[in-house]
Amino acid sequence: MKEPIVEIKDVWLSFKARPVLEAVNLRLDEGDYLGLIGPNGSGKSTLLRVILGLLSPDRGSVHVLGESPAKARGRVGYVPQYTRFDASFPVNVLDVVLMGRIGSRGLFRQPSKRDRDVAFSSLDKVEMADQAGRQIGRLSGGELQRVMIARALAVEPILLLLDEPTASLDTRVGVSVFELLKDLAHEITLVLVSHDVGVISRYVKTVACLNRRLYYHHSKEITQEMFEAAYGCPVDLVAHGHAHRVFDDHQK
Amino acid sequence: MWDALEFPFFQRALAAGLLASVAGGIIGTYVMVRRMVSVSGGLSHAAFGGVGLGYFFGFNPMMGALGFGLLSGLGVGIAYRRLGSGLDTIIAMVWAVGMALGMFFIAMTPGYAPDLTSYLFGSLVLVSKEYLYLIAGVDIVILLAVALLFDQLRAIAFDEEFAQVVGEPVEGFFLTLMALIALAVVSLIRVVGVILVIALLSLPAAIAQQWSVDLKKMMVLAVLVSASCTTAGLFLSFWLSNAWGVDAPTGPLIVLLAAALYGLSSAVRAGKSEGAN
Repeated sequence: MKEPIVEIKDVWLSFKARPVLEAVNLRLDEGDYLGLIGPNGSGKSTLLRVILGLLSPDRGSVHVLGESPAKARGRVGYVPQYTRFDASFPVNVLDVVLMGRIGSRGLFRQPSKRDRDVAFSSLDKVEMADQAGRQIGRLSGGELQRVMIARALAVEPILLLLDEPTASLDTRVGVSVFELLKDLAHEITLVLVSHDVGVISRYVKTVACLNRRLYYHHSKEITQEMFEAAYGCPVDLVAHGHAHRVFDDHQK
Repeated sequence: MWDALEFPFFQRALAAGLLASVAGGIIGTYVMVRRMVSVSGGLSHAAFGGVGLGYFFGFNPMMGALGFGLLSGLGVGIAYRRLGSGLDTIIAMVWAVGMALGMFFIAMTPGYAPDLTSYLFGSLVLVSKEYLYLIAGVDIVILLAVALLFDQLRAIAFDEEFAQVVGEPVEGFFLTLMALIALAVVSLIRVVGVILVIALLSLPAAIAQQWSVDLKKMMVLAVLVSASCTTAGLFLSFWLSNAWGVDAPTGPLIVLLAAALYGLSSAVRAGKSEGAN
């Protein structure tokens, strides 16, 4: 069997004695497209940050591409939930996307022709190549999100992690982002974090529910136990609510 | 007014203002976009501790400021990243401790009391040749660092977490930036003084940011704005003193000019975007 893309074993993490992740196990293989759902504060972003090596677990092991998360850097793309930067930052779209290339070239080096080619083809994938020269602050929310995805793609990642990539977008733009991710899923292993159960289950290959503990059966089906355990909602909501209906639609 | 240029002290003052504007404009740009204005304030006041040490132990106070500023910059950087302490708290501490140490050691120094005002509010007209070399050296270090590490420094200023995720050694670059801020601070201390350094690290860059969509252009513009303010302040001070007999301090004049320019620039900018709507 091929080496897993991500292998998390018995990971525990707490912030100031407040448990955030408990006994989390997760294995992702090449070609997976995992949708990670869970209520607010359930640890979804934390789990991504553990995979990225931005947080170290208190207990347990994390391997990304067979190495420690820090060593796997440069092969993992990341689209953060919030754009923390300042919209007035004087930088254009192309330069932001080129930041995805910065880890793969040495110090003191200018971007090579290949760096630029990769940046442009990443922009092309998100249909933003014609906007390369625009200042970042003049983009709409949807355009900015596309640039963030292009920046992550410019890493040429083997694994791409997206944290609520459509949270700030209207439905129409959101759908176009999901369509884009669907195409990318042919080449890249993807993890998509969302709280929107309905939308996510339409696009991903498998779904996991997180609420401190991770409920994952390597399938797309959200079982009643998973949903109940993660959300603590009555079974009734699962049977007649969004999740199931969307799932049924998809099977037709 | 131009006869001022004949005086060696005026030539030195002019050169110091221009050279310090290079360091201040470039580093001020990072300070502005990375939102580290309070850090620069903290480091300039911390550097005053080094001035006091210099007087007490009998070495060049500006060398004291340089060493102390650099150590404080690296200390703040390491404390912030490693200890997880709030940046606010750390800055408040180096800010106050630097001033306290400076005042303490100067008071303990036997003999004559140095002219504190010149350190607190600048004294361009008293600048020595050695200090010019110091600023020129600082400029060279800053220009080299920015030329070689432009993309890396921009990436961590823009989105540090992402830079880390793609494998940049962000801690090293963050400390480099802190050290560069400390150097720029020292080059500006004789121009506007420890209390007003914060103005020349923020106002010219803030004005430049209003008119720039590119970080390099913002740096160039910030340097030009800073150079204009120091030069205009210097001439204005000379003219006030010659024509009116008013002994107007140069440092505060420079800062007031920069602030007025910022107000003007903001107003024009706001008028422009209103016109665009």
